[in-house]
Order: sequence, then structure tokens, then C-alpha cells
Amino acid sequence: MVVGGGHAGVEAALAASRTGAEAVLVTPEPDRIAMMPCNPAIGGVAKGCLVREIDALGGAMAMAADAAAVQFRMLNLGKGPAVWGPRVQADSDIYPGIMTETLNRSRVRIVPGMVTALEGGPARFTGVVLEDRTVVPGDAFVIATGTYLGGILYRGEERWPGGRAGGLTSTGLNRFISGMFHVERFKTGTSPRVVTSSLDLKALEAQESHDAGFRFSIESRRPIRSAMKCYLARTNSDTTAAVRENLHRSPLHRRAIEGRGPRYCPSFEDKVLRFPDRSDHPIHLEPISRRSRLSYLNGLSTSLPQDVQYRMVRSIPGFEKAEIALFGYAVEYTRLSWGTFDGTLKLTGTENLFAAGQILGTSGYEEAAALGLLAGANAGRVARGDGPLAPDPEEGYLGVMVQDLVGKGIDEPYRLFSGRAENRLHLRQDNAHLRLMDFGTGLGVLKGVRLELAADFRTAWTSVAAGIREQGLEPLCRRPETRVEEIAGILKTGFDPDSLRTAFYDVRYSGYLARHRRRRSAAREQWALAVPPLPEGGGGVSTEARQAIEKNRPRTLGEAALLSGVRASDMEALLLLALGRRCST
Amino acid sequence: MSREGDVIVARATPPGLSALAVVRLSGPGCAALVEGLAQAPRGRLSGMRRALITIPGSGDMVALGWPPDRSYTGEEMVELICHGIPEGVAALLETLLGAGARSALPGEFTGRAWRNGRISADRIIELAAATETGGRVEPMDRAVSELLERVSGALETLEGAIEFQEEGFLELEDCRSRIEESVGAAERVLLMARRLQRSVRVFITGRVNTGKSTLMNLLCGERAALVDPEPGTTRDGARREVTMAGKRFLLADTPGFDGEGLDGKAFQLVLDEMDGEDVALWLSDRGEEPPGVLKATGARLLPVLSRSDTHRLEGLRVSSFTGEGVDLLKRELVGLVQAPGEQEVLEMVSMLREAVRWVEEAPEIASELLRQVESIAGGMSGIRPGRIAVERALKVLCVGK
Ligand SMILES: Cc1cc2nc3c(=O)[nH]c(=O)nc-3n(C[C@H](O)[C@H](O)[C@H](O)COP(=O)(O)OP(=O)(O)OC[C@H]3O[C@@H](n4cnc5c(N)ncnc54)[C@H](O)[C@@H]3O)c2cc1C
Repeated sequence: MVVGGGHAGVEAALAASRTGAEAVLVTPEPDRIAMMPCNPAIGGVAKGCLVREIDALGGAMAMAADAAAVQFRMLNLGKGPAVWGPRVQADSDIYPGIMTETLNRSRVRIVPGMVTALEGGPARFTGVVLEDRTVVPGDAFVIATGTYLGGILYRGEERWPGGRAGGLTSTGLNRFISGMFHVERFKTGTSPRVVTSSLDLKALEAQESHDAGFRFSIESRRPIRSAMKCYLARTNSDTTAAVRENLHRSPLHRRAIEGRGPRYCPSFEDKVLRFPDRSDHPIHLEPISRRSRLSYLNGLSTSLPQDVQYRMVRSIPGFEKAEIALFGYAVEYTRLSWGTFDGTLKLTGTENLFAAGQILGTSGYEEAAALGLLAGANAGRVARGDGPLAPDPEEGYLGVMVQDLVGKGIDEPYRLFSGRAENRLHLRQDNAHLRLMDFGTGLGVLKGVRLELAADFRTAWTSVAAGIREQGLEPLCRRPETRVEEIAGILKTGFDPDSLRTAFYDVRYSGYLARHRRRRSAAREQWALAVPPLPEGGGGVSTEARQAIEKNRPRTLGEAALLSGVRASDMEALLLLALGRRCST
Repeated sequence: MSREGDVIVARATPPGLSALAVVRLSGPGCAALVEGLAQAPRGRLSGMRRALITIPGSGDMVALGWPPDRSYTGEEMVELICHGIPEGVAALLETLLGAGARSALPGEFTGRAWRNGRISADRIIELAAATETGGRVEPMDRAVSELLERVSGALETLEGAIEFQEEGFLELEDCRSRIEESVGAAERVLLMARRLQRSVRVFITGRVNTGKSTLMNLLCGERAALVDPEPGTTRDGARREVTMAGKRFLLADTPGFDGEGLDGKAFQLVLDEMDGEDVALWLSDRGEEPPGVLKATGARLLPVLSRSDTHRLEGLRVSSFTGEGVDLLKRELVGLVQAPGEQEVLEMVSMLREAVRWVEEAPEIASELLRQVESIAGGMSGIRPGRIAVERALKVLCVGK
């Protein structure tokens, strides 16, 4: 039983159904499934890799992105493949249709309705209550309501309830969840959409697409071909002046919004405040779909009043006569606090309630979809009487993200960066299907054609890797100036170019990866140390952690690290205390 | 003048560059003072509360509120954790003073803790002792934290270039020069480490007239030992402090091994002095084995074939006459000696150089190397970026001075 039909909800329902459970998706907007309220792009650095991981776990986002793509770029192409970022601009009109079709094909039952509460509890829930008080029964639940819980939208002096422009807000469920779990407020925002024909495109820099024969899904038949252009524009001192003169009208700076926004994706107001010396900020003009007359202004997220948005937009060369069709706004919403869920995305203290997507504090379609897949698969497993599983941070970005959310906690909307992975050189988009094959089959979500294709890839890769080893090409692969084409020339025997590339970079990165593994095993040794007695005054261990330790009495540091309430900083302090004690005896 | 009830403020982390700095306030009303500056709601910092706040002019920081029953001083306290840029911290202190706080007197935090029964007098003495030893290695600490600062800065630039390539504001060339600066900083740490190394004694031993004193002079670059072609001239072994490749040595000339009478007694005194920490050069122009009495001292033995211009024996050949082998001998000596932490610093230097080689071709590899350097440097300094728990453990030591 999945509540919410966004990116998280869709993958959750599909994953649950792949585990063999009977999946039901409840959403008040069945005609707006997997909508993209923000910029219509899927992928990027780390995010693109996550989309490949979703594919490797049998999910739907990769295939849908391939099918809906109107433009493709491989970010960081000049750098090594561990940081390549495949990204598409998707046609946001057809994407929801593709997803709805996928749901239908997978026999997910879609129930229209707004959930206001859950039945049963506090440990075991038995059904969801809809607005008209009907109860839909279920064996396990995933809450994936995005920004809708207690959602409030802001623009200038205006303030109105909603999960996004033109959407609803969820007050009943917000009350229910906030009554059971610790929650906090986060904030995000979006940019104005302009009428494309009102712009002078010749004044802008066109951005070419890379037609590199790429596809996100190993199951997609044809590579992405581009159909539309993106453009690059730059703001100037008139744009920043418009902002500066009107800051007092911004809900953010009037402190009307208390929620924390993302630093990596700031509003334009924030950019002006934080970089007062700069006025030429890049703005990317992205088409919303083939059919739409509108384009999205990436980089100009703002919640200033409408007249100011006009002044800002029209100050940009090429935008003098721009018509704004939809204005930017900020949204503040409720998210579950740190410590309310574990590594399987099950809510603490419950047996069959999971959560996924923006409600966990993340931001972005890809993050939401991947978490949805995990929560849905685990809900499916619980419904069928199996235990839920947690992903390994050493084997994928999904695991990295879950570890960060559960272990470290976050202070702002969370987005994946490749730098968050400790072993980034291993977590590449090219080897996602190799890395996650075992987890996917174990979880019960990787089957059928997808599994066969992944297995074929593994076979091809194994044989190329053996070829490189047998012909003694490893030292050559490690040299900075060696190109993969050279190795191809030497190997001669028939091979698949994708698996050759993967095998080549496995060797190139192997020395650095080995170093990482050595460090990790040293860390594991430390995990085996006994938990030291905590000194008076704390010794740097937080009160929350101290309480968790006193209650659960873990024997080793490794056990302590898994407790909810013990943060990374507490682990550092515990480690120091443990080592200090060992030295003095 | 009610000094005791004042809100006092001080920087809790050592002055100078560090990744993070901690500023502490203590005294009733300090939470309200910070809340006011940050325009945060009243009560945001009361109790055990953690909040991200913005203080105008000082930017974003983490604030930790401590109620009296939990705090170090036994009073209401607030800790502000901000970037460790000295100018920024100074500006923050200025703002806090302007808002009514007063600079803490030396030892005042600990004094309040003692008055409120939070700490024993013994513990105060312990803290003072710890602070003293901390003071002695300060220049090294500063070099390490400067290295850490540079590496962290280079890493941040590099990561920015990787994650936000589309913003186009960060060039890999810029990253390259930042990593090169880090190499410089690491080399300075190496120098500091070597300066900290206590000088190693090198005893120049051998039979009478095997060229010991001449070699000593050559190694010192000046006339240190009395030289006389007459056998048995050196009686009071002259001693000289020299530096080779930044490492310190105490060279000691010794009387001939086979000397008699006074010389024999003097040599026995030298033998008594030697132990496993020392190095003994055994000079011979005939390839003779070092004598058992010398081996028994446990000193590290380095046999040298002296007067190599007069024979063709094989080994470490040194001639004071032609200068053959002197540089090689110096290198051998330098290689025998390790300054504390030197191995780690050398590793950092080589990883940073490797990072420079990769930065444009594969910045992800350069970044991996920088991360490892950051973690080594962080381990050496104890100020690992983001390692807030350690800051808290450290803070007690600084203000208590
Ligand atoms: C204004 C705005 C700006 C954004 N800006 C960015 C950005 O700049 N960069 C970025 O990466 N991401 C951005 N995002 C985030 C991105 O859109 C989300 O992270 C992603 O869509 C979250 O997916 P989700 O499945 O968690 O939730 P959503 O996609 O929000 O889906 C929630 C679903 O739950 C349904 N629902 C809600 N309440 C109930 C209920 N009570 N009962 C049943 N169903 C319910 C809704 O109808 C909807 O179908 C932005 C989002 C918004 C709204």
C-alpha cells in the first residue's frame, strides 16, 4: 500500500509488485502521476549514476527517461568516468503517461483519494483512511507524499497552502504523522516558466547535445537522440539590482519561512546576498516538453513578488519582451526528523510502516525514486513475511544516501553528490548493474529480462577483464596517457565495448581502491573495540547518544554506531575515548 | 562590579588557521544574547539545543546551547562552531563583545567550573599540564593546520569543479595550483618535523689513524677535530652539531680503538655512553670487521672503507683526500634517521605530487589522494574538518591557560 503517486511512490509500488506483493497506489491526482514540478531533467553527476542503479534494481525511471528524452548531455566528459554524469532533458508531458502505463502493465491498482490517517498502530498498521472515511486495508505501507505534508507556498507577500503550484496540501495526514514522529520543516523553491516564443533566442548561446549512443537502461532498445535545444543566458547588474531593491519583500528574508533550504540549489536572492560582487550568473533555458510553449529558467529560483520576477527576467539580454506564464515560488513542508527511520526505511517503533522520497528530507526526482524503490521492496517483503533489507554503502549511491540520512542526519534538503561516496572510484554508472546484481536478486526486485541482460554484461566483462590480465596489459591501463582505444587495438579478440571500458577503468582505479579497502578494514578493526565507560561531562558524546548507549548497552563501537541517536561525531568521540583508555592501561 | 555574573566569551580552539573554530560563551543570559544577534526566536538555544544560525557579518554557524546542569562551567553556556579563518573569528568575537559579552580572563571558564562544583582542583592541575606540553609543539601544529587548511581548500575547489561543472566557475588549472601550494605546505611540515627530531649522535670510530678526524672535518665542513699525522692525536673527542637535509646530528670524534693508556680509558668511556639510539661509523682502510665491544653497545653500525684512494676494496668507499663517497655517506646517515611523523609527511608529499599529475586528466583520482592526505593531516592535528567532537575535547585546554 503506497501513499503518494510521485517519483518515490511509483517506484515503491512497482518494486513491491516485483517482490510478489499485491501493490496498491493511493493518490489524489491519478492523472498527475510522477509529475516534475521543477526542472524537467533527469540525471547529472551522481544522480545519473543513481538512475542506472535504479535500472540495476529493476526500477522504471531509467527506461522512462530514455523514452521521454529530448536532449542528452554527459557532464564531466573531460574527466574520468567515475564522475561522468549522464543527464537528459525529459519531455515532462509524456513522462507521467509512460509511468502510468508502466504501473498498469505491472498490475498496480491505482486508488484515487487523499489519505488522512492510518488505521491500527502504533506498531502494526492495518489500513489507510481516505477523506471520505473509507478504509483501504493493507499489510505494509509506504508514505511517499513529497512536499505535500503541511505544504505552504510563498511568493512575495502571498502565502497559501499547497504541496506545489496547482496542487493540494495534505493537512490530515500531516497532523497524524506529526503526532507520532519527530518532524521538522524544510524549504525549497522553483523558477518562473516563460513563453518560449516571447524570447529572442538568437541572443542566447545554444547548447549542443552529446549524442554519444548512451541509454540509461540496459533494456532500452535505442540510444537517446536529441530533438530539442537548450540555451545559456547570463544575468547582469540590472537583475541583481532588481533583487537587492526588493529583498524586503522576500518571504525568506522577512523570515516568514523558518524551514531550511538547500545551499547547493539556492534561490537567486541567496546568490545575490552571498556573492554581492557577482552579477553574471548563468541561467539555463530548458524546454519543458515538445508540445509545451513554455521553457524553464534553471538557476533563477525565486519567491519574490510577480512584478519583481518580471523585472528580473526582462533584464536578461534576449528576454526583453519575455512573458512569464508561471511564476516562481518557495514551498515549505514537513519532513521526518533524523532518528525516525532506519536503514531499511522502516519508521522506528513500527513493524510495517515505511517512508520514502522528499518526506525523508531529500530533494530531487532520482533520490526520491531510488528511496521509493527500497521502501517499496521492503514493504513488499514485510507483507509477504520476509525481513526488510538495507543497501550497502560500499556498493552503491543508494546505500550512501541511506547511510547519510540514517547515520549522519541532515540539516538541509539532501541531494546526492559524488563526493559523498567514500569509494567514488568504484561507484560508477558503467558498472551499476555489476555492483547491484546480488542485492537486487536478494531483495527480490531484479528478475526477468533485466536480470538476463545484467548477467550477460557480467559474463562479457569477466572475459574482457581476463583478457587484459592474461595479456599483461594492466600496467599499461594504469598510465595516465593510455586511452581505452589503445587497449581495444591490442586485445583484438571480439569484445563488447561497454564491458571493455568498465574493465579498463577497474584496472586504472584499482590501486586507489585497494588503498580505500585497506583503510576501511582498519576502521572495521576499530569497530571491534569495546564501548568505553563514558566520563562525566560527556567527553564529547552527545546526550542523545549517551542515553541510547545507556539504554541499549552495546558491547562494541560497531554496535553503538547502529543505534539511532548516535551520530558520526559521537562515534569520533567514542573512538578517542576507547583508544585513550587502551593507551593508558 | 559583579564580575561573576557577566557573560564571558573566548575562542576555545588554538589561535591561527584551523578548519573550524569554537567560540564559547558562559554566564546567565548568553543564550538570549546570541539569539538576539541571530534574530532567532527566544528560547531557540535554551536547554540542550543545536541550531544553525546566521550572525550578520559572520555568516552561518552551528550554535550549541547548554543548560547549567549540563555545561562545563555549570552556568548557561553557548558554543558557536564556525569556520576557522582568523579574521572571521576575530569579527565574530568583536560582534559578541559589542553585544555585551566580556572577554574571559585567563582560566576564567575553568575557574567558574570549579566554583560551581563541576571540576576538581586536581583536574585543573592536569589541564594546566596538558596545556603546557601543547605549547611546546606549537609551530609544528601550526604548520600541520596550515597544510590541512590548504588541502581542504584544494579539495573543496576540486569537488566544486567535479559536481558543478556546468556553473563553469572553477577551472582545473586553478585546482592544480592549489594542490601545488599544498605540496609546499607539506614540505614545510616536513621541515618542522625534522626540526623537532632530537639530534642523533654519530660516533666516528676506528683504529688509530684511520682518518676519523679528517672525515669529521669533512662532514662538518670546517676544522673541528685536531688533526695530526702523528698517531693517537685525538684525545678529547671533539663534538659538533651539524644539519644534513634538515636533520640534526651530533658528530663525535673518538680516540683510536687500539689506543693504550689514556686513550684506552677515554675509548672505554665512549663505549659506555653509546646505546641503541646512536649510530657508530666504523672506519677501516683494510676492510676489517668492527670489534665485538663496539657491536655490544647496540649502536647502529655503519662500516666505512676509509682512504679509498689507497686501496680497491669494495663497500662504502670514502676518501677524505679525493672526496669520494662523502655525499653517499651523508645520504646513508640521513636515511638512518627518522623524525617523528616523518614517514606520514613523506607519504603526504608523494600523494600530493601524484595528485598534481592526475588533476587535469582524472580529477577524481586527484581528489581521492587529497582525501587521504586530509585524513592523515587531520589525524596529526586532531582538527579533522567536521570533527566537532574533538573540538569539544580540545576546548577545555585553551581557555584554561
Ligand atoms: C516547488 C518545488 C521545487 C523543487 N525544486 C527542486 C530542485 O530545484 N531540484 C531538485 O532536485 N528537486 C526539486 N524539487 C524536488 C523534486 O520535485 C522532489 O524531490 C521529488 O519530486 C520528490 O518526489 P516524491 O515522490 O517524494 O514526492 P512528489 O513528487 O512531491 O509526490 C508526492 C505525491 O504524493 C501525493 N500525495 C500527497 N499527499 C497525499 C495524501 N495525503 N494521500 C495520498 N497521496 C498524497 C501527491 O499527489 C503526489 O502524487 C522541487 C519540488 C518542488 C515542489
